[in-house]
Amino acid sequence: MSIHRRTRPAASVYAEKAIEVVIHLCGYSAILFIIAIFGFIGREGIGFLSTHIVGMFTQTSWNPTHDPADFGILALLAGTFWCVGLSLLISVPIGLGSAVYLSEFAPERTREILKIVVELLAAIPSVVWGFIGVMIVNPMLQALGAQVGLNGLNGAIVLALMTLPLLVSLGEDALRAVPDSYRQAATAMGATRWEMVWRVLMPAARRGLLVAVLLGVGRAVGETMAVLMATGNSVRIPTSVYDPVRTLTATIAAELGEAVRGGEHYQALFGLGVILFIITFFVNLIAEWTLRGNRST
Amino acid sequence: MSDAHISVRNLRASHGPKEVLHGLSLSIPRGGIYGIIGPAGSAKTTFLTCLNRTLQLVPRASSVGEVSLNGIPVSNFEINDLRRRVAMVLPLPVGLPMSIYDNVAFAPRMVGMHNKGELDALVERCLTQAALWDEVKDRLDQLGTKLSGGQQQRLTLARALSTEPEVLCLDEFSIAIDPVTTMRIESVLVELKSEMTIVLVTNLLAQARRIADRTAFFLNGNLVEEGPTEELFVAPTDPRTHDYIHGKFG
Repeated sequence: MSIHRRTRPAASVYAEKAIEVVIHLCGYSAILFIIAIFGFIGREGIGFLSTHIVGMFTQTSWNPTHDPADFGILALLAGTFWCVGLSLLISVPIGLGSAVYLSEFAPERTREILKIVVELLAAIPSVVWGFIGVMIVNPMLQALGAQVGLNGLNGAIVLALMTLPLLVSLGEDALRAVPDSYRQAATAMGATRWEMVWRVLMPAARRGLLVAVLLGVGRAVGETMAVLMATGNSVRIPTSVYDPVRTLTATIAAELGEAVRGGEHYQALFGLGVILFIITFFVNLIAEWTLRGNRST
Repeated sequence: MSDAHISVRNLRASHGPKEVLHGLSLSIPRGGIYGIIGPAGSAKTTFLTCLNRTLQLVPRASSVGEVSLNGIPVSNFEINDLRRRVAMVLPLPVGLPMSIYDNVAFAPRMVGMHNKGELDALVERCLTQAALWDEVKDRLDQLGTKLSGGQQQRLTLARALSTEPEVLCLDEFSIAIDPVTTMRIESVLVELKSEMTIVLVTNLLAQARRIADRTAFFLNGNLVEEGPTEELFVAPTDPRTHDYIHGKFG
């Protein structure tokens, strides 16, 4: 008796190979895109950066259309980090507090509902957040005594609300990744719920929580439309939370349309793009390193 | 009844709709090692969690019946006080992600002990009792999670002792550690039994026979029989106990 084993038809073997190739390409496409984007921004911006870099980092005035033009970005950098820093002061306590509540205190049903709501918060388009900054936060700040309602604090509040969903969901993931045995061990020694969270869970999840904060920073640094609308767009180094400021991103968005293509102003804006890219790249890189450290211990 | 440290009457416990402990009554005398044996799924762990009320942390679990410590129902104790009195060592070693020193000083600090000298003395005493002091005394600031499995289990034991409990519950403590460490912990328990009541849940019949003064046999959420360990092993009154001890099931 002979045994006949069925084999796959040739067409299906080739189809399998073809699909494998396509899947590989999809996988590598992200790298391809990031290189292409950097190449594009870099081509326009690197030349300008290499000739103006000293002036950019020593001057505070940004007057690209004056003659002679000023390309100092210190005020823009200050505006960006001012808004991001203030927004962290708001979003980190609320975001991590909310993550702790969701992960450790909320009943299961409440958690499910709240998570959906928090994710909805993430789905609000950034222009709508800008609108909220102009129409709601603006009069509120004026009522509190600000001369101009569109200012750094306004931008920070809007940014904080925008980064909150990211902090909450990543923070909650980090806390829930802590083994239950830690919770049991702490509770079995008579730790209250809060003592357990503060002394055991937060230290155990600290890397994950830090990553959540860093990705929030990355998100906040790159945010454009909302800060463009909310911050008041005045180039200066802020000394009060009520000072209007302008960020790197807002500058690019506001001026690129008016700049002569290929001109010095145009290239300067691309230079800003390169700097922005480098900042967010490093924030993400640090987040990634932090996460890797987490895996190895 | 007066010499019972823990007495349990008609204890029923359920996980969701499924009842796993079916009206169990038992009294554990003060001092000595009380062994609990039985095949997997006989609710030995659930029984332990009723003693310090950690059962209520399990979603959808509930219990009815009376568990008392020194004649006082455990439900009358302040919950964290109860858990300090009735310490628990879980099957898998848990080094908390902090230094060895902080692992042991964790519970005392929570009740407000911050005096360096007092803490040092307590940490040394607990680690010595858990037979770990000599191995770690030069590196107390190292992370507890970096210790080997057997060392971590002794660290877990030291931590349990740090609340100065009157009852020490161990749930299959030797499941993840080597035989040498197991023997060391067993001899630690034999030393400790004059100071506290030890409740030892174990899957190893030989372990119960070696160190338990009394042993109870659980089967499917019921107490089949209990008595002095040698009697239970040599002359069990219930045929199911006899079968289990001789490896006929489980």
